[in-house]
Amino acid sequence: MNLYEFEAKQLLARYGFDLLPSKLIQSPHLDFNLPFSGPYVLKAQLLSGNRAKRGGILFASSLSELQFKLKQLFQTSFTNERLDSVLIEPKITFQQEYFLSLTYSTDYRGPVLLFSQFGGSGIETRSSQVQTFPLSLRQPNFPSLPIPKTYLNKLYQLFLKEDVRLLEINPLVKTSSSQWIPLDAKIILDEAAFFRHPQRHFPPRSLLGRPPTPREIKAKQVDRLDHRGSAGASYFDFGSGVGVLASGGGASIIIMDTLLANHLHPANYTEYSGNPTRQKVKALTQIVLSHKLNSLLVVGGNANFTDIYETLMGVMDAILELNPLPKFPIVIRRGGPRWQEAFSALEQLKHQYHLNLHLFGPDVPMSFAVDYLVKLLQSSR
Amino acid sequence: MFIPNKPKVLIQGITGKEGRRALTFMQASHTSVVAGVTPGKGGQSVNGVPVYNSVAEAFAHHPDINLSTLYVPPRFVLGAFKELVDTLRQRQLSSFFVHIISEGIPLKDTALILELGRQLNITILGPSSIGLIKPGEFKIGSIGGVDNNSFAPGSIAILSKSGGLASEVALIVKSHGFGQSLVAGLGGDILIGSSFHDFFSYLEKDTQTKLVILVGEVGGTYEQQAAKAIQLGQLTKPTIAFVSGLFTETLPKGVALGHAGALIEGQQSTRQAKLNAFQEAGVHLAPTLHDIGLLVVDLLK
Repeated sequence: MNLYEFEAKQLLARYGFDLLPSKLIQSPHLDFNLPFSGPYVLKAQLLSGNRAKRGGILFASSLSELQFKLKQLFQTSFTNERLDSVLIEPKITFQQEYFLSLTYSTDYRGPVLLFSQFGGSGIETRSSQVQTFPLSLRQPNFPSLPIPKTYLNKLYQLFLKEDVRLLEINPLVKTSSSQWIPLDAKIILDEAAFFRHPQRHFPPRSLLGRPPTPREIKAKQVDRLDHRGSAGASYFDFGSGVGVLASGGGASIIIMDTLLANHLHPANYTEYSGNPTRQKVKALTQIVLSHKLNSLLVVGGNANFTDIYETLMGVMDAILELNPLPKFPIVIRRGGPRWQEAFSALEQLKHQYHLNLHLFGPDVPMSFAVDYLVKLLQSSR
Repeated sequence: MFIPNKPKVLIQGITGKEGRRALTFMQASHTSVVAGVTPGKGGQSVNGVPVYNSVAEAFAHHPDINLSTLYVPPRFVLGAFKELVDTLRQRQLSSFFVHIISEGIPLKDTALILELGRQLNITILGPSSIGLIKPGEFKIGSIGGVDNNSFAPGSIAILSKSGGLASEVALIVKSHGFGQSLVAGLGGDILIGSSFHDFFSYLEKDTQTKLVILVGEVGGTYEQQAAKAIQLGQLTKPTIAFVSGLFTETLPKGVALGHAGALIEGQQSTRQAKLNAFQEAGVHLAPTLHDIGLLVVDLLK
């Protein structure tokens, strides 16, 4: 989960890091006194990067200018994101800005410290100046940097204790009074470790540039029904079109790739795998069926251990509860344990309820099911 | 990388639902599962396999164990792994293979598991790995279930981050009349114990393997590491690569789709960057899954 700058700074404050005084504002009206004097920095609280370039950071020298800039900021439209709040801080002077990041690296397969003495915005264009230092989890071995090792160690403790995936401070500055201050902070929390932090309550959010839709929130709840398999852990609501119930993290991407290549609009993306229960698949299917659909695509690879009978029956449980029953084409392509048993049951249901159901087993490629759907949709036009 | 020729398997979490199923799968492929561990259930047996309360106890009765597969809920994996490592240390065992199927392990736990593994010089497959099969010889984990009809002994090695696609690609290969020497699901997490290139020295030496298929996806740098290893001559056999994620590239940065590790964060993690790396290394690129079959026929005819 990506945190907003103000949330990241709250976490840093909890660990005793020095920060600038600040005020978080949710409306364009400044109807109170600020606990610090100008000049000021106004920072749009956004999850996506390149904030400065996108006009998300403004400066003001007086309170009246601050009021004006605040209105301006709230009127700015940021592509892919809605602005809910603005963080106001005093603008300070410093000598040098550093880039500091703690994260996990696939190159070193463990935690790393990234450092550059040329921090500030646009760091991604100066990646050749960023140094990488692998860290041990048990005996941290910090490199000699202009930043004190005690400071690095304190950050690393936060990184580990809070189960952080990315802790990026850019810039980290040293003030004239030799104080180290993070001027901006980006934190991504590891959602797999949320069970260790039950006290956390962050409002739901989506990186798609809007708050999560009720369907997306509900799908996450479905996934947490039990620890058996995964169903709905990732759900993207794209409105209307082809309903997607894919299986397998890898196969599901191929389905989406193929839909895209065929210019079909998916109503959603979601995925179930790892042998989820029939109930869980049914609950997830109900969410997919709540979209305005022109078809439903249930596709997965040749499953290793997912019970195809149980999971496809979960899909059918949800479909058969619809009143009236859907007339749009339902294309299923699956293989794996008990697939023949599942298919004969589906054939029966197809005839009993006059479903527009098209079944493909593991002998046809996954992408064929999508090609077939394309033809079905074209011929119905 | 150490892959035992004759695995003597321990299942940690053998009495759980998926642990029991994995036992059935492995037994159906004539893999020797010698013991299981579930704390508090010692003295029971599952399908004729004795269950012990601790890893140490299992090793005391079965000192020939050379592989453990972990079927425990994600939050208990680190504990189970540490217990195993303690026993391996006491017994001074280093030629050892650990398979972890659990998905959704906290990243910090995985990092610690991998750090401990490197220190002991043991081989770790996963987390989030479906397993590994050498068709006609043995099966580790849940790959292919009892028999999903994807596998036959042959000359093609398949390495895939996704377990489902490992099986799917095996089926494609088989439908063109070829079998497999080894098929492994590496896992879709950000951090994994064995990546593509970790298998290269093993596959290079393996006389049965004539061709290697790499199935990658967006996120991380494992594909680039593989391409680099190929350029350095660590794998000289013909190699085919497929990388998914056209759709992922239409989403904002940082959105993980399908697998925890399948997220685009920097330029390196994109599909195109990976395809470029493979192309520069002289790897044959398959634009679609279907094309893998056609390329195999072309290269092995």
